[in-house]
Amino acid sequence: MHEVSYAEQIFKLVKQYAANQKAKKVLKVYLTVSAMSGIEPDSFRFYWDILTKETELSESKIYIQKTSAHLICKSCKKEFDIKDYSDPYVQCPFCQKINTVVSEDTSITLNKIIIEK
Amino acid sequence: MIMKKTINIEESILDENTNLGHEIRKKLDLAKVFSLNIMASPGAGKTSLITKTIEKLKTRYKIGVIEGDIVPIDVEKIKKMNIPVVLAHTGGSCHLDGVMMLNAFKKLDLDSLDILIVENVGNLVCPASFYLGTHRNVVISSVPEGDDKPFKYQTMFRNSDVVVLNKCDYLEIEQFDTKNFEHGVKLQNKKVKILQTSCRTREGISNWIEWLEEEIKKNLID
Repeated sequence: MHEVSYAEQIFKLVKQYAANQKAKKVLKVYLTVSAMSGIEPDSFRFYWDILTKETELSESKIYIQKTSAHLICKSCKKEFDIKDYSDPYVQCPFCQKINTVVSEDTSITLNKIIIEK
Repeated sequence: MIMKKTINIEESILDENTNLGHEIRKKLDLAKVFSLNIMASPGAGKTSLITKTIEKLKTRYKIGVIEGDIVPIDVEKIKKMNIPVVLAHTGGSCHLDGVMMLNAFKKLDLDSLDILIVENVGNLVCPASFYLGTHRNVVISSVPEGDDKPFKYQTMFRNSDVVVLNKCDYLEIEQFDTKNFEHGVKLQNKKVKILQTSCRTREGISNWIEWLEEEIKKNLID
C-alpha cells in the first residue's frame, strides 16, 4: 500500500551503492519483504519501472522474496506463521478465534544488487 | 570487457525512516516544541479538532501546523487563524514520512513555537507505519464510520496514545456500539485514553484540551 515511497527510498539507496562502485548499470535488485509489510510485488515493480526510466537503473530487474509473518494469538498465546497477511481477521489455527493476533514484523530489506562495471 | 559484480547490502528500509524520526524528535526537543501527529480517515474531523484546539489555546501557546496533503484547502483554513502553517506536499503519497517532515521544517521557525500539530494524510492504514518523531500519536475515529474501525485498522490503534471519538453528537442517531468500539481499542492498546468529542457542538473539547495540556506537562518533566 505504500509501494511508491519504498520504491523511492530503495531507488536512492541503490543509486548510492551503484555510484560508489562506479557501476555502468544496475542489473538486478534483491529485496525481502515481510508478509505484513504491505508491499505488493506487482505494484512495487510497476512503480520501480516508472522511477528508473532513463536512469542507470532502467534495465534493473527487481526480485522480491516474501517471508511469512510471525503471529501470536492473544487468546491461547500460541505462535504461528502465515504467508499472506492481506486480511487483518486472521483465524488462529489452534483456538479458531479471530482478531486476537498480532505481530510487529513489517520489515523490508534490500539484500543485494548485481551491477555491471 | 563487461564485468558483473554482486554487492551485498542487507539494509533495512523501514529503519531509514525511523532514523529520520529520531532526528526530527531531537530538533523538536532542542526547540522545546511539543508535537502531535493527528491521524484519521478523511472526514473524521482532523482539521476541525485542530482549529478547535487553536481557538482554545492560541492565547497561551504559540502553535504551528504542518498539513500533509495534496491540495492547500486545509492550509487556508489554518492561515485564516493567523497560525504559521506549512503544506507538506505528499505528491499523492498516502502518508507523511520523515523526509517530508524535514522539508516542512525548512519553512517553519521551530524556535518560535510551543506546540506543533501535524495533520497526517486522511488514511487509517499507511500513516501508522511511519514514525514521524512526534511526541504523541492521536487517532480520531468518528461515529458515522462505525464501531468496527479498531478491529479493522489494528496497527493504527495499537500505535496511538489517545483515541478521540469525534462526532459524538451522532451517537443518538447512529447505531454505534460504544462498548464494542472501546473493547476494540483496548484489545490493541490497553493503556490508551479514549475521549469523546463533537467539534460541531464543542462537547468534550475541554476534556481533549485537558489531556493535551497534561501531556505537555508530562513531556516537560521527561
